[in-house]
Amino acid sequence: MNSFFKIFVLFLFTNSCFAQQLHKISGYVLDFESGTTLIGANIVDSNSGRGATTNIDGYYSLYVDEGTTFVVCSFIGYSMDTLFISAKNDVEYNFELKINSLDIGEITVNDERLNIESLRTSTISVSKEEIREIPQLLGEMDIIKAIQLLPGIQSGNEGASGFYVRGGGPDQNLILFDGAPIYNSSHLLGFFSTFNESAVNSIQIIKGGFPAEFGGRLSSILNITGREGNMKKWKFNGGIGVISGSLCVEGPLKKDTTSVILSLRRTWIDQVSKPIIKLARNSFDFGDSDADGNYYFYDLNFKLFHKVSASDQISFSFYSGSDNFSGLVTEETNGVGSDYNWYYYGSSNYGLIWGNIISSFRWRHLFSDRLFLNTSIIYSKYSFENKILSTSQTTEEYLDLTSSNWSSLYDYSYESGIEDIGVKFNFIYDFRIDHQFNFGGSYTKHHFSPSFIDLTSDWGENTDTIMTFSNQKTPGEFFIYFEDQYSISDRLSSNLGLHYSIYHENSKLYHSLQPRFSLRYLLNENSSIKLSYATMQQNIHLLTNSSYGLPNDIWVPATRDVPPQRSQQLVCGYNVSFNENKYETSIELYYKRMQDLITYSEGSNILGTNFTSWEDRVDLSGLGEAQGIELFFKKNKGLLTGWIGYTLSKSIRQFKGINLGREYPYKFDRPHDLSIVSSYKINKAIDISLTWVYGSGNSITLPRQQYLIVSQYGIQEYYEYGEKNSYRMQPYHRLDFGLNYKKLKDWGEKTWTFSIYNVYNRRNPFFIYFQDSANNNIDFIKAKQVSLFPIIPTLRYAFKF
Amino acid sequence: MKKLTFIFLCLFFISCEENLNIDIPIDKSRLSITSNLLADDYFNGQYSYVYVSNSISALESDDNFDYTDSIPVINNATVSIYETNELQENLASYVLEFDYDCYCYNNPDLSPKQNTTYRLEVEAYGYPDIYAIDKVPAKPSYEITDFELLGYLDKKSYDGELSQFNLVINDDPFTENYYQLKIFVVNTSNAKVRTCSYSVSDASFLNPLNDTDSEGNYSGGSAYFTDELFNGTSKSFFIQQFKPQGIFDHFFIELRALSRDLYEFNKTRREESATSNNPLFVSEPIFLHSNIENGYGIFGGKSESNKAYIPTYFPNNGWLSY
Repeated sequence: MNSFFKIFVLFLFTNSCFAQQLHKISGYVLDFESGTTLIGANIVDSNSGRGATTNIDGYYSLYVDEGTTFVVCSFIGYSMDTLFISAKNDVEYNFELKINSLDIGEITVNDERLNIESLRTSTISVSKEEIREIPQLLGEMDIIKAIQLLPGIQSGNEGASGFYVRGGGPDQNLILFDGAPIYNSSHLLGFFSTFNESAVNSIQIIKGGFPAEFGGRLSSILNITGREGNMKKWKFNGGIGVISGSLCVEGPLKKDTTSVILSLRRTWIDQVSKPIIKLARNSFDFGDSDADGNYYFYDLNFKLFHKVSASDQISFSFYSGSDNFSGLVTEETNGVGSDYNWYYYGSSNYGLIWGNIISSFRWRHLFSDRLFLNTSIIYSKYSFENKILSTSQTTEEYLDLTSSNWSSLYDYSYESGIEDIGVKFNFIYDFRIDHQFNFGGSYTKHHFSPSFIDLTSDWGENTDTIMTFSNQKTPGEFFIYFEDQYSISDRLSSNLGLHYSIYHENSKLYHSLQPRFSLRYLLNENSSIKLSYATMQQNIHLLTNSSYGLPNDIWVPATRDVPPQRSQQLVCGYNVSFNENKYETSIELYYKRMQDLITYSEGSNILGTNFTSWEDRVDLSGLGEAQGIELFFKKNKGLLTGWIGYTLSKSIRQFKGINLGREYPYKFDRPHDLSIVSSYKINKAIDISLTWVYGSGNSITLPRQQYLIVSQYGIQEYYEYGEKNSYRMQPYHRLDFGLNYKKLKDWGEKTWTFSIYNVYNRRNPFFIYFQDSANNNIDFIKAKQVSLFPIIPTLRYAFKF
Repeated sequence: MKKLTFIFLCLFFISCEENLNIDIPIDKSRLSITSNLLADDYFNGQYSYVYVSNSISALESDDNFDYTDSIPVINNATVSIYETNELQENLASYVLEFDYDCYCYNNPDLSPKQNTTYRLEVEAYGYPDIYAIDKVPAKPSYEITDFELLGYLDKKSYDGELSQFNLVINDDPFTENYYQLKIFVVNTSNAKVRTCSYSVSDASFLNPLNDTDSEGNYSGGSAYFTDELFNGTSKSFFIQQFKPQGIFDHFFIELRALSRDLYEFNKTRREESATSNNPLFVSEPIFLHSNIENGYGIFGGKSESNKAYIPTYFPNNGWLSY
């Protein structure tokens, strides 16, 4: 190890001897109109061809040769800005780009040259412009559904917002919003994501070759940055759709210094559904009882941004979102006994409430033009609550005018959740043109409450049962990392990183040293090959019984008996662009192994057969393996833009106690997954888009035989299931259409969006169940497939001023 | 709840459903066996028996089971049980006949012995032959110590704590042992036998078969446990016994030793029963444990050791083997 270190240091410094005279240009890329930072903007030196991209704080640094050169800055939806510079010293310069979204001419959705040059494999930045043009379910722009159209990223079931990356589970995705983790990223049982587009600035997804900065998940990092408020003037925008509406207000508290943004989205499905419920209540005979229900969700985003000085910026971001379902069933009856009359009244209130609260405080500090620090204090809470309160009152009135009363009570409450508080330091140090060091650390304290049950029941004479059950845990997670972006030659660059984490739960410690590396070799100006390797460790698990996005999935920590899950992933890729970067193609091959996965034991679920700990209800030491080829073809420029993504993959699992220990296909193993996304700009006001997706059917386990267990105590029927997940549901495919009509008005801009989800009304499988049927007095069992969304046309109106 | 579910679905789903032609691989129908071998009992359909039925495709109607009268059992199978040695050599063989009293197969000459291995073979026309092997475990050895009678056996309305005692098991170190504990009260005059509930607090009772509370206490009438935590030692369990309402003259403890296969079968059956019909907390499919080659069900051995407590107002009183 010592020798290796010496060689490494020698290698590091030798290269500097040959460095030419260079000067550094650094600064922020800003929106000219609002003064907000632009993340993922491209900055290219026209002389040397060197390029850089603004980081998550909108900051860039680029080395240029001494002398005169043009530095070009571009960003999707904005006009390019060019800096003419005669470089003699290091320079700080902030680019300010102007929006060109209503230009008549061709549009450019990305400068893919930097994808060729980038060291990162399996990393895709998706712009809001691109997402906005994709037709969406019920017209709601949905970030998670949009990234499901990328190769290697799959949806679970129809409509579900959870996503599955390269054969991994939904828990293996680290979803960050302004640096804070979000544990439940969906609303409405998984059909909509929690991200309100008006509060989002940038979206980046990393599927492999993970930077050393990130850890704690095996399969992907979805890094979403919230928007900062307009620094120049007050702005309003909003939208009205079929099931929800949103409003966003932003502006400067102090011009060019302090800004604020507040956005709110709320569904009005509770209002829309009232007539449906009324119709249902009128149409069905509920007898002596009555029932009512209500559901809504909301998102609230708030962000305060303040430039303290030229080298210090602070921001405070807050998000709160929640789903609320409530129901009420009442029953009122009476009757006549032999010598008495009786009256009964009972009511049952049901409630399901789940949601996230997150906030982060960030401080960006420039120590010098070479050293940049981003400090974050984060808080994240996810909770799920299920309440049932049933009461009843019975009265008997006897003929002798005496009476008796008795009542009953059933008060049940189930809660589960996770709460994090942590701090993180990220340093970027431009050591030299050929070395950029990224390093830092983080500590997070988790508070897991996998299941808290409180039950009180009283059936008359006295309180029968008071029961509480809880198994809270408070583990801590610490990590440090170091990463060197090293340009070995003009063509060959590497990224070498180490991520070291310590996780403790009570007295149990888990150490993990996770090496990461990426290599990129430029074959020529327009093509490169890349190789990356990453080991990851995840200290939390998600126990899930279903894939419907039900909030009853519970987050649980690694413990003494349940070790963290681990993975190793190898990726190699080839990127090429042609026709002056008008087209880009990439192919990536990946192989991922996963160890120490957990799942519910066969027959177990969240409650178990009794009030034992969740640790007694899981199968440990599961293995997973995923491999695949991802093809990506993208047209970046012109009136017609879009991409085709195709994935050929295989994902398996193996647990000792599941499927008799034999390996089986992962539930969301999808051998073929194809997405075609296109957008055509008809004129400066109208653009249309088409999206077609195809995926192999999900793997499910079906019963093959039914048999009886007969004894003197009775006869019970059981099913014999075939190999686990050996049956594939029908393939999923769907065509969506969207049309955007924008018009500038005196007061601002309005946009009408018309979209058709599932244009040819494909009945895609949601789930399958079996039902006894009869035909000509012959009983038989029929399999029934339930589909969710038929053709759905929607209209949405948006405005901004 | 159904109404609420209806409302719930109205709110969330604009679903449609269609009949689906599913190509489930066609498996040949097999035999399903339910057979218990109780040590020192006779095959008369009460505690030792063999029931034979058939399986059908998952999509077939119940009408396609084979029926005898209206009971879904097969009456024309050839059922044989062999007593074997460790090398699986036959030491004795018994042919069982169909008994219309219990709709099962019996042979009163067959009395399973403890610590003995048996092999079951069943042939029935149209089905693959099946066989199964299991060992009847040795009768468990235990003692009752520190016994205290706290309540009244013969008071009808009394339903409180009846007694407390230590059950001391002398576990065999050379075998994996699986136990089941029950306590019964008996009224000899009218032959009424009722199960008593009892409570015990011990880590051995923390398993998926038992209903334990949040503090790990078991309370119920029939608990399963293994010797995993006390293998080969003398293990004491403190038992608190509760009496059901009624008049009784004595009670007895039934401690059973089960074969591993029978224990696993009971465990998976319990899990299946506990998780079915639960729409919100749905579980993955459960594979019922079976030791039947080419078929389904269980051929399980067990033995039991009973001790009765006779109150002091009887001539022969105290703890007696039962």
